[in-house]
Amino acid sequence: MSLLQTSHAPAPSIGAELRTAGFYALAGALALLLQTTVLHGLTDGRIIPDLVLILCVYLGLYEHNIGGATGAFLFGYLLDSFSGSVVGLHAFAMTVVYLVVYLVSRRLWMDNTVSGVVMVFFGSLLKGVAIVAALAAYLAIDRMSLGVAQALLAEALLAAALTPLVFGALGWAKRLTGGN
Amino acid sequence: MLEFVRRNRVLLSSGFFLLCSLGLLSANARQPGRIDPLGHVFLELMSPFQRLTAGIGGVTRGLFDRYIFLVGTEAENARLKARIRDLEQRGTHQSETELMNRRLKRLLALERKLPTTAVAATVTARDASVWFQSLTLDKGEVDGIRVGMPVIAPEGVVGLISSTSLHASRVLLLTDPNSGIDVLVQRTRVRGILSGLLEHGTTLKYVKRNDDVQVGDRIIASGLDGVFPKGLPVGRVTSVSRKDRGLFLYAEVTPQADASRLEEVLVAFPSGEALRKPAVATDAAASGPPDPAALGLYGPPAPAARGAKRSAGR
Repeated sequence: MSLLQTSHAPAPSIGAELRTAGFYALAGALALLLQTTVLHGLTDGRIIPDLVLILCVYLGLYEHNIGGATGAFLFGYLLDSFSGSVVGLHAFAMTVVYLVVYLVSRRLWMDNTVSGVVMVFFGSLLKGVAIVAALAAYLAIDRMSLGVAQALLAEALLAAALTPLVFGALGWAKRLTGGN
Repeated sequence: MLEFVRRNRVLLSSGFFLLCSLGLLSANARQPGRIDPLGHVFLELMSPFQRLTAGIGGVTRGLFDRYIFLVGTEAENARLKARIRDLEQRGTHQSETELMNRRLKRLLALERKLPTTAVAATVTARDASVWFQSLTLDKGEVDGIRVGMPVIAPEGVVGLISSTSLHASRVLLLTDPNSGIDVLVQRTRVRGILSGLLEHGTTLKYVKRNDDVQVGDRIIASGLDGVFPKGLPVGRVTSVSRKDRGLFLYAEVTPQADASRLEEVLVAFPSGEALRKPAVATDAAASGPPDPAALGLYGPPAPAARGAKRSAGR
């Protein structure tokens, strides 16, 4: 069953917007920090939970404004700065994920943990597909094997499993900083 | 019109950012250098925190490994626990120091034998995704590190510096799908390009089907890319397949240096270009050309070329 979501919330003040932007910037930096150091050590780098992607899905679900799209792009760009050598790849993938999650959440009621988990799972798959497609289109990467699909699936499952924890922490931190 | 823009602001801004990212992608695919207007700022901002987190992570891991799991034993025998903890602390510290000493000795030996000067750097972070392979080092532009410099470990070639900030730099590993270095099969002197794979590992490209390449063959740097000194070990061939059709054979190569376990590396300067020439390197320069056999280098060393550039393969 789907419900049409409509909201007519009053525009937030500049102070509140700055607080929200600062909150997401801190969350993004922390996610990247964990991704590049501690979490890498736990799995020997074979599978890294993509916390930045979970943040992008969160933006797609709850931040329906220009700031949300900008955040997704900047998170992707931040990842590009610490991953691989092709600038713009993650920026592209994260913006695609944000856009699709935003479009889905406009049509379906998505205000519970299970739908968040599902969105993160499909968002992670979508990010993988977007990266592979962009690599194939721009850099003519050849020889893609089953290993790529397996890594993609494992990454998506891991991200989905961590979603309740990350969404819970984000919700808690947002309430603490006075966000809605 | 304004109402339309207001109603579709998310779609329009997302479309704008999609175009921006595609523009960045196109620009980076066309240009040999890295077009990254904000990357060095992010790298510089995050580097101290990464160093701190890596340190805290190590300590926490150590605590979990060595103490938390011994809580039961502690309850049973408090007196012995204190002694065990003390001994473990000493033992761990000692073996850690010993291991570090061994690693640094090997690095020093490599630095002495290189045909150019080099600076040692510590790995502070790894790649943020599973799709690509890179490392972050604790040395940057103030230490003389520039984009395109070769990064090596005692075991062999590690990769190339792909971006720098004042106090940190990033290494594109040879296992990254976007890397490529000019190599030779040591036994038969067959040339090829070693490139990374998306699913980890590396592959030898552009080797003719009827060329002699066998499993177990050692792969070394050819020196022709002007980046890596000739003869540096790169890896070993682990599988070779010749399909019915096609001009080239397909060979998988396991890199000699396991990047997932690297803690310290050397960044080599192009010959004659050293910001802070280490004393050991000065001694080595005075004592004549390097001895490849002692170093584990295979083949005669070539003078490192100036102006390290991005290798072929793209």
